[in-house]
Amino acid sequence: MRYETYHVDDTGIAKIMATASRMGYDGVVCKRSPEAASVGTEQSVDGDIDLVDAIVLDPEDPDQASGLIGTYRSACELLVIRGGSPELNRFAVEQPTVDVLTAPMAGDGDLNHVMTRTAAENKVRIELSLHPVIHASGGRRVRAIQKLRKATELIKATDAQWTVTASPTDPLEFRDWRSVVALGATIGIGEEFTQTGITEWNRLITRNREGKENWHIEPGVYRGRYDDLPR
Amino acid sequence: MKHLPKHLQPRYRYLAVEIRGNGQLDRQRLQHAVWQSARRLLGDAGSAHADLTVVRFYHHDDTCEAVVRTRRSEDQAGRAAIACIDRIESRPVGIRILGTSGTIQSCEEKYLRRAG
Repeated sequence: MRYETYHVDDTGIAKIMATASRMGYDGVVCKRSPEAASVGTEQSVDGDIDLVDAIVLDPEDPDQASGLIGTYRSACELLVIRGGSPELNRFAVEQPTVDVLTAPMAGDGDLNHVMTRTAAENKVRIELSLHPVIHASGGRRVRAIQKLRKATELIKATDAQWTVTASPTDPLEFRDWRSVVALGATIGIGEEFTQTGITEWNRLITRNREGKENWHIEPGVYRGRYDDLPR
Repeated sequence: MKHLPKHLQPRYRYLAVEIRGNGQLDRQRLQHAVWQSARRLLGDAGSAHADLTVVRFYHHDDTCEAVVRTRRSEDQAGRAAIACIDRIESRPVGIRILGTSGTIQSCEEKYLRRAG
C-alpha cells in the first residue's frame, strides 16, 4: 500500500481523498499541528482511501520537544518531529516514541552517520521530501538534490529507515506515485529506494496500529514487556 | 534524403498526461512548459536526449489531456520532467501521468477520454 502525506488545511477532506485515489495512492497521512482538529477516523471507513492522523511537532529546542512528545504521543497514530537544527535532529532520532523525523536538513540542520545510525536503532524514519525538487528551480533545487543524495547515502550506509513524500500542500501538488518514483530515479536516489520510501508509510502505520494501544505513557515509561514494545 | 531503415529508426514511448487547473491552456503553451521543465531538471543535453514533444492535445471542461512523445530509453526522465511542471504561465496546475504506451492510438484508447 502506498501513502502520500498532506498538510491538512481548509481544503475539504473529500477532495483530498479523491485526489489521492486518482493519483493511485491507498491512503493519506494527514499531517496537522497539535492544535488542529483530527480529520476523524470515521471518514476513512467510506471509500478506498485510508486516512491516518499524524501530528507534526515543530519545537524550538529539545526540552520543548520532550514535553510535546509526552503530551501528544497518545493523541495520534503517527508522531512527526520537524528537525532543522543539529540538536533537534539528534534528540528526535534518540526517541523511540518518535515515528518520523521530517525536514532534517532544513535551516541549520544536517545529518551525519551517528544520527542515522541512532535513528536505525530506534526505528525513527527519516523523511525525504521531493517538494523542493518538484517546485523549485535553479540553485534551490540543486541544493535540495544535494541534500537528498547526502541523506540517501547516509541512510544506505547505516541501514536506517526512511520515507519518501512529495509533500503536497494543495490538491494540485499531488503527483502520481509512478512519477514520484521516476523523479527519485532521475535525481539519483534510486527507483527502488524511492518506491520503498513510499511504501514505508504502510509498514509504519501497520506497526503502530497493531502495537498495543497507548503503549507510551510518558517519556521513559511504557506499558508492556520490553520485548513486546512496537519497534 | 532516404528514410532510415527500420532497425535504425528511433523508438518512442507515448505518455498520456492529464492537466488540471489552467483553463487557458493550449498545445503550444503546454509544449513550452514541458521543454522548460525538461531543460531545468535534465539540462540541455538531457532535454535533447528525452526529446519531449506534445503530439496530441485535447481540451475538456475541467481538464486537458495530452499525449507526449519521449524516447523509449528516456521515458523515466520524461516522466520526471513532466511531474515537475507546477505552473504554466504563472497559473498553478496539477499534473497526472495516466500511463504509457508504444503507439499514439493505443495510448489514446487506453488512457484518454477521447479515443483516437
